[in-house]
Amino acid sequence: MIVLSPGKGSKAESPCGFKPLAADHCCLILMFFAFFFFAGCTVQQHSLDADTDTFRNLPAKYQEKALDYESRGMLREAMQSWLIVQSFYPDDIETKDRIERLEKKSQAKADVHFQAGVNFYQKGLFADASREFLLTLAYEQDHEPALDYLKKSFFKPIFSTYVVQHGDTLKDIAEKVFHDPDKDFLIIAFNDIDSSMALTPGTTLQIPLLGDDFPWKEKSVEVMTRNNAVQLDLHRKKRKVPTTASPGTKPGETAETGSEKKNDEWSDLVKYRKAKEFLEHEEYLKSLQMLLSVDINFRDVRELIASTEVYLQQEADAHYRKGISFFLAEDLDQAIGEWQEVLRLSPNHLAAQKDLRNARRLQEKMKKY
Amino acid sequence: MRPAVILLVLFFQGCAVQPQVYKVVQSDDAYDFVAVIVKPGETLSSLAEKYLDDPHKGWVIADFNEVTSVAAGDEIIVPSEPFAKAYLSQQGYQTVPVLTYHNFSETKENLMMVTKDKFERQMRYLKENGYTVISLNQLFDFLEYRKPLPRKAVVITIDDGWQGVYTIAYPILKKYGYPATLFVYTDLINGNRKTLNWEQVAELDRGGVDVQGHTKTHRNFNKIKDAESLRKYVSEVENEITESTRIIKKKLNKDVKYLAYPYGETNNLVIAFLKQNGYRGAFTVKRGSNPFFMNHYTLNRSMIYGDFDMHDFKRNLQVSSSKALNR
Repeated sequence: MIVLSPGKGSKAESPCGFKPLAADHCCLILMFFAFFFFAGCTVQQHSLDADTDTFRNLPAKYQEKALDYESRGMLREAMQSWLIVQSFYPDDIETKDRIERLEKKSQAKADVHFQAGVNFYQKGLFADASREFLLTLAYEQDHEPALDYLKKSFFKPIFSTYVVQHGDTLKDIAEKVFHDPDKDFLIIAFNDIDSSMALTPGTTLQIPLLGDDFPWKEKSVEVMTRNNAVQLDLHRKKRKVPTTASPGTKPGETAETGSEKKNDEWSDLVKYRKAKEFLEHEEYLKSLQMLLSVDINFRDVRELIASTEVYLQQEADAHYRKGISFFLAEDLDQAIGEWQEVLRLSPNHLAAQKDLRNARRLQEKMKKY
Repeated sequence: MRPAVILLVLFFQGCAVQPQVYKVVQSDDAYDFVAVIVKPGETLSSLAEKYLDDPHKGWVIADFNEVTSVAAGDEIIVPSEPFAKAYLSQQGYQTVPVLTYHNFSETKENLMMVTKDKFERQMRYLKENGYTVISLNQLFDFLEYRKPLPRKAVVITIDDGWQGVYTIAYPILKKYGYPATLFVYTDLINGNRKTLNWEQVAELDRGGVDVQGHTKTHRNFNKIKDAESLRKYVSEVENEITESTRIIKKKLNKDVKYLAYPYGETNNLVIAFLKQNGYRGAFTVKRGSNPFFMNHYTLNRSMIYGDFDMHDFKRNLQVSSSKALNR
């Protein structure tokens, strides 16, 4: 049901707002209203029966918009535009029906997508589920259950809960949830308890879920320490101590200070990410150049360099083959251009070197004739 | 009284519709629209002040009418509130880029240091191309699907606490009236020649640069130190968060609600401590913009490197996407 309701709910209050006055002020009231009535009527004369005359463009504009939205399946947006149109033609039955039809259709679509989303979610297909929940919200933007599911699809749980049983100790619970009684301190850290307290049965404890990517690994400290020592040694041999201060280096600091190490770490991380961005954009040469400036032991740099070199070789070969095609089509300029590109990507490409030499020789000869 | 009643009826009848000024529609969903013919001298801002009680909401009118300004005689619709919470439709949805800077200098540039000239050009680009720089609070209202944002909203953040923030970035931010967030790691705020001191940090905070957490020592949360036990690691993670929160709160007398992870690295334990300490969200440095359904504790941020040209900069201003809608 759409209501034309001047002033209601709007921040721009209608000038009609008034407070009732006492009966003994009747004359004043008469004068007051008479004044406003006549003042108002002069304005009203030419516009009361012809809203669309005053707003020459808006009704047609929003009608056009509404039809466009409808054709693109954007029902909610179409409905909104029809509502605006309706305000100019409040008695138009067709517009009213149209809005009602769209409202029903939009709701039905939202229901269908929501149900599909729930089905995907229950099967653990979260990408499909979230798409369906987004579509639900596109049709009905305040669909709370869809919003809840959508957030659950994207938010990994950080905590689980454990309800204390009769006779449970913290060590028992740590054994149950972490398979290690010595991790009881993790339970203490996230609950308002201490190790000396007896646990009350029925109390719900918050248990942090460390996840598979948790960096601290069991029984790995010793091995990691050894590896780190070797890596640090390699790192020191490979890196030169910067001669100029970089951000983070305080005056008087050496390469061994925390700040300097922080810079190396940042620098590797930044270059590594930049190299990966270049890879995503298929800018293999830039990626390789960036990777070569990162510590070879940093994450999967070694593997990335190897795969980038393969991509580069493939790209170079593709240009080489293009060069051959141009050469056979007797387009020497294009062929030379392609082989130059091969050598930019792969300077040691022997076939390209040879063919480029021949092509240039041939080009010279042709110029002479 | 009879003539008065008649006049009263006529009066209200007369005033009920003043189409040359405005016209209001209300549906069951309580969406109100006011149709307006713009008068000489009126602007988006003055219309927003008149109809929405807030001159800063000119973007609501601009976005709805798909215009960047208005002129006398224009027929426009003023919605009492934005129509779409996240510009979500079958075709796509809004995403908000969060830009990350570290340090600034007059002329020297490297990956982590942006020159004054480049920063100025980047900020000007935002202004000239219709971007609205918003605060983290506004971003989180959007992420919680509570409040809409201008269609081209962007967040500016700066990490660490280097002197260049105060001497170079701050005057430029002020010039454009942009809010920004400074994530400080509290050990760095020591007033060294190259770093900020707490007086400067407080001045920045008062001047629209919201100061938030970046831990105490800038430890990489995903790197285990030599022979570090789990107990020691957990205790250090907790200390990094609680100590930096306590120090900022004490120095600036404010709540700390947001964190930028050092090196952008995090894990579940860190997030658990953030939740326990009342943090509303936290940021990685994973390049990309944020839709409203992003996890609040692993938000994307795009680092703006010193060697970026304008093309690189623009690539980081993605304000819409359809990725999650694609099969």
